[in-house]
Amino acid sequence: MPTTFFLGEFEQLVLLTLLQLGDGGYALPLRRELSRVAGRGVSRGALYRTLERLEQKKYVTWETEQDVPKRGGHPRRRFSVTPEGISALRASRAALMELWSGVEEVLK
Amino acid sequence: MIRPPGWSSAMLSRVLPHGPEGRSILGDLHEEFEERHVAHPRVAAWWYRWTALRMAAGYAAHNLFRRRREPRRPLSRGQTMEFLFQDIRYATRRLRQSPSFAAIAITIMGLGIGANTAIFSIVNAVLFRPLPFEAPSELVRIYTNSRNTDSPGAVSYPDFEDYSELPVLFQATAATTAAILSLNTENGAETVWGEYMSASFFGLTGMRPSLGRAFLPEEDEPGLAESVAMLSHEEWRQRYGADPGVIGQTVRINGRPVTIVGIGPAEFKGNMVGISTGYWMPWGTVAVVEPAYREHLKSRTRRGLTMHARLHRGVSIDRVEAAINAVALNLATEYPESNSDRTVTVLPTNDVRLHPVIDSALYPVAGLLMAVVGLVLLVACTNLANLLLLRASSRTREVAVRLAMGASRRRLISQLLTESTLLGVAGGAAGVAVAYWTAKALVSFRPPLPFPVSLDLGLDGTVLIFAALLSVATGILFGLAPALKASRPDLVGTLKDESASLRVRHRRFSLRNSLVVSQVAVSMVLLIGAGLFVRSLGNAQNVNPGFEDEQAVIVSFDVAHGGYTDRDAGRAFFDRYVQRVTALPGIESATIVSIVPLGASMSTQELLLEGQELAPGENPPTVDFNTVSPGYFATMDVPIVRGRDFSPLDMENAPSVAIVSEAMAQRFWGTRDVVGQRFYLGRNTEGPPTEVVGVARDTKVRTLGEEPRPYVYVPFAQKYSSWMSVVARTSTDPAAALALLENELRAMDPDIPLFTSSTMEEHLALMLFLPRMGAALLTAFGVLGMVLASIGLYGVVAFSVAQRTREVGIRVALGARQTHVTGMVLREGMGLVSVGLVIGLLLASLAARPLSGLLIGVSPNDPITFGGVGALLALVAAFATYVPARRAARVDPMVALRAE
Repeated sequence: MPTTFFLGEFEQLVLLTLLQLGDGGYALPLRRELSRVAGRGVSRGALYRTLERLEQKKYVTWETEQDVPKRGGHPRRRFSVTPEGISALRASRAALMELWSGVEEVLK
Repeated sequence: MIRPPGWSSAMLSRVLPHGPEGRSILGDLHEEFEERHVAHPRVAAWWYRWTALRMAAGYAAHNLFRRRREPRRPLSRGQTMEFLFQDIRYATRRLRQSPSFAAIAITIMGLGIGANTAIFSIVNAVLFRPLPFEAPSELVRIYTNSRNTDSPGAVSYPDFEDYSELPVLFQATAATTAAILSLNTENGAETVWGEYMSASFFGLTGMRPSLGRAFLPEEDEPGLAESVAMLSHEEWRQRYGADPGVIGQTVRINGRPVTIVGIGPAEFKGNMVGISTGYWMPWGTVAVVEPAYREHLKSRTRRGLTMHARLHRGVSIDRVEAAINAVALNLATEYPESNSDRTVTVLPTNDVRLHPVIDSALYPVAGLLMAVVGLVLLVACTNLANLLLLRASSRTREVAVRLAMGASRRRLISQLLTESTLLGVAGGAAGVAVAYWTAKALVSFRPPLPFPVSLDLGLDGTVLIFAALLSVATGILFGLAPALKASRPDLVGTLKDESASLRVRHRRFSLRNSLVVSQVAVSMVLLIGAGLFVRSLGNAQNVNPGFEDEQAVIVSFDVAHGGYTDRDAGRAFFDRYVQRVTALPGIESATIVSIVPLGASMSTQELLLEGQELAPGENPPTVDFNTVSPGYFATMDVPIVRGRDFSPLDMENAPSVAIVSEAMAQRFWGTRDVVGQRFYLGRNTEGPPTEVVGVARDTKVRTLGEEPRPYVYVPFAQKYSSWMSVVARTSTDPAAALALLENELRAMDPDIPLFTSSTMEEHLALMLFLPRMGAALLTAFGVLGMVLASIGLYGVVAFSVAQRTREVGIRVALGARQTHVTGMVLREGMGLVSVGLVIGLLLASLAARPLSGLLIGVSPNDPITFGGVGALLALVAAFATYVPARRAARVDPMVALRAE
């Protein structure tokens, strides 16, 4: 049972967006969607490094797809969230919700 | 397909993670680029460059930080071992699958490592193996320096006694010297080698006899105890069959009875490394066995002893040297004629092999030998690297698949390195066997030296460690480049099964080509070295030594061994011997001489011209000199160009006379008339001077390559020594004449052992020994290198041709003639070779320069040698290139185009 770290903000966004994208979890749409939601450009480097980190924590996994056109022969990775990733998201959400409750009044 | 700017993607791919991860990132960027390209092509290109640059910078920094922050998690020991075993198993399997490759590789490595190990075992035996003394760091050797050059030399016995008077510094001291003895056996008298030594010697070194006892202190005093000797272990084994009953037995040495009291330890063969000593005797016994030596022991000018000392713990060498030099200074005042201007050198015993002066020549020779044989190993490694490259390129598919599946490059490299290291180790094992047999062969080889050489060339721990390290190092060395290259194949192309010939980019400076070029260059250097030495040898054999070199024989002996200790008796014996020899059939003439030129010994004396005064601190010149009987010059065919030869009238009490060489006449008296000039031999100008009565033509004295030397001859009658050589000129077969002389000596007195007996040709062979060995070794290594280089060249050309089968097939199908194709391949191959030849030429001309001292009649940059070797190599290389080239041309285009 892996230790549950609290997810960073960006990491949460990436995981959630991947879940939103479903079967289309590729880097390019991921970045576009994140930029749209965040309201600003997302650095490619930061995105890839976060994906790498999430992969190391075993929250994300990926598969290679070959023979995708318009990529100069390079493969494409399709990312998906692992069950551990989903657990981590749940834990994060639970923690946040707990912290949120009782503070709603202040934020009004 | 639209291509993004090449260099930016190349740069980016260098810092991205390896494998599909990095490539998918590249792909993402490419996808965006294509999208933008549709609308604005130019902008897209610049966008790509800029983004790639930013990403590259980011990743480079990230890589740097990551490496600093998280050191790559080291594998646990268990994991490393597991990987190692896996790699070894895998490598063994792979090698077993290609037995011919493995056999070739192991053979090449075996030869290379074997040669290196064999040479190293010799170097180790001579230079490194420590003498079997206890606490050797406390032992020193003490030398009196010569006046002129301050180089360390032997000490005299009285000096030894005075130096020893420093009990504060010394636990013990001893003096030793080599001695040539006559042993009476049932076959007559035989020459054996021994050492005279202080009774304290064995105790000083901490060695224990393996049987019996060492010497007692009273055995140093003449007359106090009976004559005793110790046998060396080797002598005990060889002559006495290791019979323990030999203790207490009496043997006759120099005609005197001596009791054996002990056997030396097995590891000790005497103080001179490489020379085998049989008998050790204390000074008391020396007085009996060689009574004339007693006079030597009392004289301060007779310096022939090596002084050993064991220091008290904590005493430094500098302190000892200072203290002894203080003693030397006192001696200089007290005995100015013998001891003035003489300083003392103290050296750790560990630092001395034979003698400090000789040692300084040994190290460079050893270095040269190891360098030459190391070069051969280098060529062998280069060959193997090439072979491995060829092999690796046939595995690109497998490697590509593994890399694509996520294998780390590091792991791949380690696997490939394991394979080459395994080859290296197997080659090393083969090499040890080669070295063992070589050492055995070398031990049975007897160089024409006048002393018994005995080197323990066994493969001891040091040599084995050397072989092991060398094997692993070469395995890694020749495997590294191919491993690095093989683990970086063009993945996409390989996986897509594209034709190899289309993928290959013809880079002039490819690794494979550079290896071949370097092989050719190294072979060139070795062969040029060989050529120079061979020519030098040829010249040496043709050099006119200035005296009779064919129809003469030499015997030498010491009449004192037969008991002729009185000068008159000794002189009479020699004269009678010469008379009888001259009467023998086939002998034209005979003469007595102390030193036969171009031999192993030499003798010099200081010289003062009559009326010449020395400035304070100035040292007189030294000249080589020789003692000869009348008729020497006729026997040796050396013309007397002015004045006369010695005559029987030049007797002991007659005025001292001398004959000088032309070079000496020129040097000391210039154009003046030499006959009648006078000089003093030695510093003592009190007695009557020596008068020059004749001038002899110059001869070679010390080496074949020398310039004419000042040389002095004095008559035997006026300078007697009991040990002389007799040279006889013969009109018949020299070997037969030699037997006659030997018989004559035995007939006159069977108790006098022959020290040497050889024909003049054999005697001169000594001079040629080194050049001959050098030529033989270099030729062997040069040819080996050339063969290896040719194999390498052949392999490279054949491989390159095989790679381009398709291209060649197309050419032929399009109408190119066979000769055209052959010519094309030949040109490319010879292009490589010519680069190698030029580099080899440059390297050889640099390397040959320091050899000029060793060469006779050949300049180090001899154009004939350089040109000849270059032509030879070019020819061999052309052949090695031609064979695969022709095969290329005969490729059936249909087969070539279809095959893959």
